[in-house]
Amino acid sequence: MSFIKLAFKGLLRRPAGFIASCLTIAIASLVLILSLGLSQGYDSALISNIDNLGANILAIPKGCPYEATGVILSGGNLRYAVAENQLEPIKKTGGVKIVSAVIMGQRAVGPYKKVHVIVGADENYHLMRPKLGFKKPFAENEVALGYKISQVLSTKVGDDFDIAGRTYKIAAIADKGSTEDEDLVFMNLKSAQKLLKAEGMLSSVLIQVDDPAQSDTVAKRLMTIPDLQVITIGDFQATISDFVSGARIAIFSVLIIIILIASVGILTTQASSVAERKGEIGMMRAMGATSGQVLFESTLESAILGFFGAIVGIVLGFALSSSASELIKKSLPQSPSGSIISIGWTSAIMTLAIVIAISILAAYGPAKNAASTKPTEAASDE
Amino acid sequence: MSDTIIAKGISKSFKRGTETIHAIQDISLNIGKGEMLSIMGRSGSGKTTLLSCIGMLENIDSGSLVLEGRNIKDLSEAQRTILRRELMGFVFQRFFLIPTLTAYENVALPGLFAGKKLGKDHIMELLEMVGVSQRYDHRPGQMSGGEMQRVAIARALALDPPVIIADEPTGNLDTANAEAVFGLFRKLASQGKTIIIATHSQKLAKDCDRVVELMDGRITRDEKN
Repeated sequence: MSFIKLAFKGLLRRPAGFIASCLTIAIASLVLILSLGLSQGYDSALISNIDNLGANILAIPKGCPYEATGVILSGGNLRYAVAENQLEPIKKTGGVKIVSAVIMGQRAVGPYKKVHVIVGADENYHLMRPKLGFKKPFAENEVALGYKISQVLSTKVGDDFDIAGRTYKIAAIADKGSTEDEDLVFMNLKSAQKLLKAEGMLSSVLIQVDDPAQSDTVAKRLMTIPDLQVITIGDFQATISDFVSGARIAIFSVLIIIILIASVGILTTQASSVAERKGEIGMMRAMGATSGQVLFESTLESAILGFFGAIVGIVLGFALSSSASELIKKSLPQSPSGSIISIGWTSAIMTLAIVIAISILAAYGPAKNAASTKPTEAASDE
Repeated sequence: MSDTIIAKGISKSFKRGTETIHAIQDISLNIGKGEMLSIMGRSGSGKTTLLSCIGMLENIDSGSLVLEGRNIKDLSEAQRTILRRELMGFVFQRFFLIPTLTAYENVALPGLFAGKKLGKDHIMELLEMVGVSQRYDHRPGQMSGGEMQRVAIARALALDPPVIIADEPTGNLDTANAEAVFGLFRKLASQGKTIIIATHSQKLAKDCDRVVELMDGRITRDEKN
């Protein structure tokens, strides 16, 4: 006989109450672990996307700079409104190291004619984005595929590939997991401009500077070029983080409400359990249990309740993190590609510790009440 | 016969609103080792309060109480709890077995609170002695009232206390089971345990060595059978 066994068996006295409390705690744990995962995952996904982009500054069409940058990061359809002749003044700007011109648009591709994003890129693109795994610039009539699209269409290097009725040769397939752009089709800038009927136009220019610490200074110089909008990656990251902080506050509010509901559930379960067992607790006191031992046993029950609820919530958190990530991304104006919820052992252990602590705190009142039970509660009424 | 319990002029009262209830008043009682004493009286006569005071479940307001040579007046609650473990075993009308524990586990429970691991042989011996060893792995819900009360008696004996206090132990039992339980107490008394039983049953009280009757918190009869 041990206190853990006694506490566990005490909980099983009301299986329905035990399961209901566990489920409520599990929901609270799920929201908690997803929140923790979002805190860690969003920033790392954004930083990963920005690292993959390889640029310190983006030159984009006039309009909302953050929307445009988000589209570039996650791979989307961006209007082509930057004139190609603006490349030269960009290249000549002091502090600029490498420049890569990009055009993005959508076309039906492959045998199923499914619409995908086409990225037309110049000869520097593979240098700025080495994680894609492309070894050389794309030649005319050649395409390179993101890993996912190549798997979906079961294609390999050397196969023919149809885009809007034109046939191209697959020259490369991006490395698996090397980048977030796994659903994109890459091709030569000129070929893409021709395909998109946008000769002489660009969607954006990726700019790498000599010294990343001087990005703001270089950006100011670039802003003097007419009809060009410039944004540094640092500004972009800060703005996107502001967007997501709203979502974080909303999730945190939901979390607080759920924790309150779970706490009330635990409190009610334990309070009614103690009230129901007054006689038994009195008997325990009569047979020599100290009030400290009764408090410990009652607290252990709450901790076990919290433990099981948290474990269920954590398992659900691991299972549902991808779906939750997609759901949250839909509610955000901009978010990086890939999962924005990253759940690891640290978040799991934190969730477990927090939930057990909350369970113990929520049931402290009933536990104290149990501990103050007099041994005479076991005696028959006079 | 040496006295295990010496009560001198003990009183206990309770507040109920503005009213003071004098549950027991000026009770003096010496109970010898191995004596089987029954306390009788109507409901509200003070039987349970007297048992609670002797069993250290309640502190007395006045008088003195010596248990096994130790004066327990003015002991703190924690000290009373520890002494209670050593000296007392309790059996109540409502058995208060833990419904989710087996008979074996219920008997092992006092050992948990005393920080002593009770041996399997010891627990099985106790269950054997009270006649329910074959039910050791049954939960209270799977046992009859008589069997549950036997398990409760085995639990009271788990730490081998010199005194057993039983408050209406047969109140929930039929005649046959009540007599069997009384037989068990008789056997324990013959082994040197001091047994104090509160009962309404004249018939069972006659089987005890001595009968004490209470009325309005005072002893009105104290006779040996």
